[in-house]
Amino acid sequence: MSLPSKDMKMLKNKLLLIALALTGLVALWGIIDTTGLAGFSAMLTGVLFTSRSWFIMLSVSLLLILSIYLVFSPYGKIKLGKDDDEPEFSTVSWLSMLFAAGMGVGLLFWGTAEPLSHFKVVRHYTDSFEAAEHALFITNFHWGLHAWAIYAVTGLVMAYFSFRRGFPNLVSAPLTAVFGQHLWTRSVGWVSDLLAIYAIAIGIGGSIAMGVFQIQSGAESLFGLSDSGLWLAVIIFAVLCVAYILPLMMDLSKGMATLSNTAMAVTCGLMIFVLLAGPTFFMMSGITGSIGNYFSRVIPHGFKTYTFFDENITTWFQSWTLTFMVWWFAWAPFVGVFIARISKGRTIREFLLGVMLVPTFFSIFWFGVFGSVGFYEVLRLDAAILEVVKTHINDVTFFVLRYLPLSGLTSVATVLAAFLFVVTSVVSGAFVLSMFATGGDLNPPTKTKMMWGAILGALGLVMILSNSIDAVKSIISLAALPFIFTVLLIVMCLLKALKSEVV
Amino acid sequence: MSLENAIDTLLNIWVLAFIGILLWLYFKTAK
Repeated sequence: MSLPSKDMKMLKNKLLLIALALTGLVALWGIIDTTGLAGFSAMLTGVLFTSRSWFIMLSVSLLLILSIYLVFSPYGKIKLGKDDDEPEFSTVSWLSMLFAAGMGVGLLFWGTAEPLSHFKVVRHYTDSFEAAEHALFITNFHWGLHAWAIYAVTGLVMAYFSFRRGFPNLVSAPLTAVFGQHLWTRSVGWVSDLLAIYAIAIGIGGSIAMGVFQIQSGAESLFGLSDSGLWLAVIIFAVLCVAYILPLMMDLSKGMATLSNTAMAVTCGLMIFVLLAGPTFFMMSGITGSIGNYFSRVIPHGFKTYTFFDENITTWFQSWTLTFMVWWFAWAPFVGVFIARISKGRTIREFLLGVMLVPTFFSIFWFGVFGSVGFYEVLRLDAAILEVVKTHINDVTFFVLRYLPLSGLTSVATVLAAFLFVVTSVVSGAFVLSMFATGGDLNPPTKTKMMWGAILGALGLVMILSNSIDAVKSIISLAALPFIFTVLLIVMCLLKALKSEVV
Repeated sequence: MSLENAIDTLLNIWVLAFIGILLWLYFKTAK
């Protein structure tokens, strides 16, 4: 950007200060009055979700259709970088890194819990066997192409403008790149950066809370504690904080790749173990069915808003589908910047296909394994797992593992992976936030990183204190809703910029 | 009109206006 340097500095500092103040205020409010914040977010999210559901579903579906169009259009050949740039990372490590960044701890948390939660609702409307199939489809719908289209398009915009056009890695860059330096582009750009920072901070705070709940359930199950209450969560949180201080002070690139690759390796190992140790035929059949079911219904389902259904279903739709879609938007600036950074030198086609298809197939596999093993326990063994879903949703993964051999070892692996995923998210989140807040500086000062580390910690603590996964979900949704507008705006900038490319 | 209805209308007017602005920026402004 060609802003005068003094101007730029002012902008940077103001942005940093306001972003800090805003997120700090939310954290403070949460610490002083946790139930107040949770109740307020739930109420506001309810109002916004009811009147905006059509817009959210329409936006997400259009982003998916746009991505498919770009893959097959002549624009697909454009390189994210100069024409002679080559990819920096091997395809395998590229894919593993982007997947670890995009899904992380959520997979461990929801693997069995989500399909079974849908099953509990859907079986009142159809018979158990179809309900199981539908529950898997809905879960895959939440974690599949639509989610990755949001990430992919945001990442594509960032990568295109920074590597091909040479603008800073900021959410506001596309706007000034396409429309030039005006008062309105600068103001709207500034607000967009602020919204991005805010959405990332709250999103990562939520992820810390989810990770801590997961680790807490793991520890309870390993050591035979029943309902340890908040004290254990707070101890785990303190250990996490100590664990992420060191990587925050170090250089980003190498340590991060090792952390996220280890987490991915443990996760894959866990999935393969469950697949082999559990009822393999049942899971493989579940996966095969899921693939067909998913790809034949996915695009029309993206337009479904359940308007004409009863209140049970509309509430379910808001607290799952809409929340997930908005959740992906909350993570989009963070994952987008990250996957943009590792994708220099790939073509638009390669980028979109890699980012959308590989994680989608992995998710179908993952939920096929963990969902089916849960259904096996419900449908064949009459296990009490549905009761666990209702009362102790954090504990579902460990409950499933207890039915399989070596459950001590697999529980430790789950706790370890959750721990690594959370540390990875906080460290890379603090890095991206510092980058945004200092005007796109690729090596932000350690002081800024530590400050963001502390704020993310405080936000995480607030959400832990709320002691409810539903409160966490609504706080994230509220922070991310405005960011949907930013994504659509920068996508429009990309389309306008692409028109000037000669293909 | 109830308060709920009024809020809903306002929220949706903003969404539609935003879509209008996007389309205008895309088609009517010079690169």
